[in-house]
Amino acid sequence: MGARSSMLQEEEISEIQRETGFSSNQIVRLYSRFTNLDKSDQGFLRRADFLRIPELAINPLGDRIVHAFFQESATDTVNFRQFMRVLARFRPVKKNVAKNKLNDREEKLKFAFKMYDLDGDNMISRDELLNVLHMMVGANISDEQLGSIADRTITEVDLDKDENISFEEFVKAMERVDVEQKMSIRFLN
Amino acid sequence: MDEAGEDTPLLSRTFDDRSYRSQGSRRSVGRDRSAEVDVAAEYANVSFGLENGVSVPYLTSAASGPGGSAQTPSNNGAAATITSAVPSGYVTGNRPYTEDDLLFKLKFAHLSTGTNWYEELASVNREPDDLSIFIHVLATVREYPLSMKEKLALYRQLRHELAKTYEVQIDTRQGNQHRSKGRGDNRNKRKYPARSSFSYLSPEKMVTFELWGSNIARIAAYFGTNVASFFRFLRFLIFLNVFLGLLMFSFISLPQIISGDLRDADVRAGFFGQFSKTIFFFGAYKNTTLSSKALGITWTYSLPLAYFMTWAVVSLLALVIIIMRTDYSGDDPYASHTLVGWDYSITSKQGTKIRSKAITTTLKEMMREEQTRTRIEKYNKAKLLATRVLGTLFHLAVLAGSALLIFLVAESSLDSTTLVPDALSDFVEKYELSLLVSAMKLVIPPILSFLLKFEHYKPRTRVKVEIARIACYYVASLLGFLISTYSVARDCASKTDNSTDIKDIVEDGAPYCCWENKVGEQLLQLVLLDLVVSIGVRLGQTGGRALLAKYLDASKVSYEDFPIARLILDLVYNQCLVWLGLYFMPALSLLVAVNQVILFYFTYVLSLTCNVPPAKVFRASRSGTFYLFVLAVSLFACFLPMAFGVIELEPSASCGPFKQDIRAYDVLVDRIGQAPGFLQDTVHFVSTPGFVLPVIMTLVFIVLYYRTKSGTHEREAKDLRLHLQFERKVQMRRIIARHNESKGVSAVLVKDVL
Repeated sequence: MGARSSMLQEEEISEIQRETGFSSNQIVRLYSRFTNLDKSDQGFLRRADFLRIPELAINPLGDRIVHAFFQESATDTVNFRQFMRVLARFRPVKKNVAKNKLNDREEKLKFAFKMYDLDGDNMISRDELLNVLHMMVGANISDEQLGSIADRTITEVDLDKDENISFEEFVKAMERVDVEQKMSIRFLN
Repeated sequence: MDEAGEDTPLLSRTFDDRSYRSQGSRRSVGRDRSAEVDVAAEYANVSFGLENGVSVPYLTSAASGPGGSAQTPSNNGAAATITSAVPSGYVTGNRPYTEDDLLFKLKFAHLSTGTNWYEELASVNREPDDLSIFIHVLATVREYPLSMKEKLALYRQLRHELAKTYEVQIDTRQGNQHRSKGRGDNRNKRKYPARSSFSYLSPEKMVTFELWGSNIARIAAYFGTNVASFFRFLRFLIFLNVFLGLLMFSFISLPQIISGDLRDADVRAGFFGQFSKTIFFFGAYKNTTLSSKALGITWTYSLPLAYFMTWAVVSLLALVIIIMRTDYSGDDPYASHTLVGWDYSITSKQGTKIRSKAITTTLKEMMREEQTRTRIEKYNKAKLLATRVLGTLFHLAVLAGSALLIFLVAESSLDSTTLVPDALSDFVEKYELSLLVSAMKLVIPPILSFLLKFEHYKPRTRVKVEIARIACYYVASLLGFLISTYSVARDCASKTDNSTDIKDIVEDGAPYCCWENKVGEQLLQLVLLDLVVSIGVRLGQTGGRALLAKYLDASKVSYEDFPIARLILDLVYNQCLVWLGLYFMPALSLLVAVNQVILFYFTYVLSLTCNVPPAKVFRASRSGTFYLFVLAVSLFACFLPMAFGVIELEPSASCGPFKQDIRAYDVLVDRIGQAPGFLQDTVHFVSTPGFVLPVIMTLVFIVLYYRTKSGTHEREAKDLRLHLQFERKVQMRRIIARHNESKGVSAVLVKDVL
């Protein structure tokens, strides 16, 4: 453990601090968790490392959460900077607006949007919705019924009638949801 | 799910799980229990081998007893192969030996004795470092038909292996038994750890700096956000009560304590004996102005004024706080369930399964609602309307009847010796009114909800109607209680001088009268009785059902769903008691807060041991708002008669801070009377119709203004939507035109822009 933590330099910490808004204590703590996850000690994480977390593994949508992590890096590995950048989106929203770097409402909603958007084309199509429904519901609802549920969802949310949910429409649909409070984690200080 | 396919409460189960991976293989998911016999038969034909050539003893016909006797023709004429020697090695064909195969084999471990299961697990075909099969087997090791020795050995080996990667946390506390009792291995309870959980971050938990945060998180992990919101609501009420209680205490009781009088000699002992004389009750407060000298100035503190003002302010404050906490959000049902339907605070495997089922049920129900809408049209509409009107009338009749009953009982004391044995008669006599109210509270709401079935409401509407009606019933019974105590108490105020009862005569010839104390005492009785009754009933009902379900094998009797609606109504009832009683007993809210703390822990423990999550999902925000709304309305409905009573009724002449006044608010009027002239004039003006009417009209106008504004906004949104569509069409046309101009541009570009 001692050898590992020395790999995180002071300049890196302050850079991450500037970029994400975490305090240096939090960054060090999250770094130790990052290295815990990184069993092969390579300095980056793969999908399997994330899915080893029990709470993610049992969540039917756990795969989607991990997918949203990997959208940030656009490769199949996540290094510590990217890890922190994704986690930064879950910081609670502060009243002093200048301190909100990556954790404002739009970024949080973007994370949620990326969870559903499988192919990354900034649209949630009917098939992607079906995919998510399948995960949540399992095999208990027939496919046609799932199809009509997906259709109805799109009808409710789709404003420009293009049979897809764009990010703006998603934001509008979530306007009554208290995203700032629900998508925030109080990281240990 | 256990074998009967039922949900079971958290603490009596093992981690079960047939599909431990989120994308479970189709084979294991597709199997259902009725085909178990066939499955055994299938196993009888197959022998598993391992890649590295270690063979497993294959079946002999003797060992394949269950499989052999249940041979079905669908097994490809396999009857003959059962006894034939099956060669060792791969019989699974070209398919490599997978984890599912191993698990399947483990399920029939009694048929292949002598296997070293740990070795098999370690060498099965899996991704390196993928320990999920270890975790799964470790969690379900008790289910496999192995001997105790084998199980123990396997368990130890797996744990040892897993401890290298994960931080393994063993929880040996008695209360965390995961096994359900009655399965026959109770005796080994102490030898096995009660529960193993893999806590990846074991020394650190999710820290919330709120009271009971970890408890609520645990509830959320299993029951979901809805039930957790009930506990948060309870916590909010506790804080509210403590806050209000402290306000009352510091402005009313504290000055009295400082001035040294903890009880008033004038006040007679009431129901609670000497306790009635203390400052807990209304009667002990002096009607004098306390004064003290400090810093050279004489500080005066008018206790009566303080009493009245504090009470008024506290009641209004409570109303404001509750109203401000509600956030009214409408929404789209399908989008809410699909896009934000999942509850990420659930972190137990069972909880996720139950949540998934709940979402499924809700979605199915929404689909069904759309269909039944047409079906209801077919119902004779007039008949439906008639039943509903009848139902509502009946409900109102029940309300009126119960209020009347309470009133009658209060007026005339029952001669209880005929109904009840002597030992209890004293208790019954003292508590008769409260007993009556509590008994009716137990009996009548179930009747009301039962009768509601015949009015054929849609399920969601039905829940709302049910809650609204029961809340109305509670309010009505409480008001009946209040009014009857008022009238009984006021009898003393109008007693004439020629009363021959010596006790009643006080110095100046006026009869002794302290009706506020009596009312306060009755309310206190009601509060205490309510606590006892609700705990008793819940223990009986929920606990009893749980016991039955455990020992009667769960198929006929199931564990109870967490009864959110009923519990929240109980909370509303409690709070109404607080609003009603605050005037007569300043310390009531603190007492009720203590009650609620007891209730919190009791409900917490009971729900974890005896409840399963509700089978339907009510979106937390929506139902939370509705409950707060019900609470606000009940509060308002209780506040009005209270205010009426305080303002209109004469305060008692022999006790309390308003001894000398004809009306309680006279203290306020007097105070204003001492105020500078312009203030008096303003106050006078404010209370005249000339001021009140324009104010009302302005308020009405403001409401209408906001409504029309929101209507305009909707129209604007529609316009914007159409505009967006138009823009998109124009853009598309432009791009297609450009594309047509310069052929050779790939079609992908068009798609990208769109």
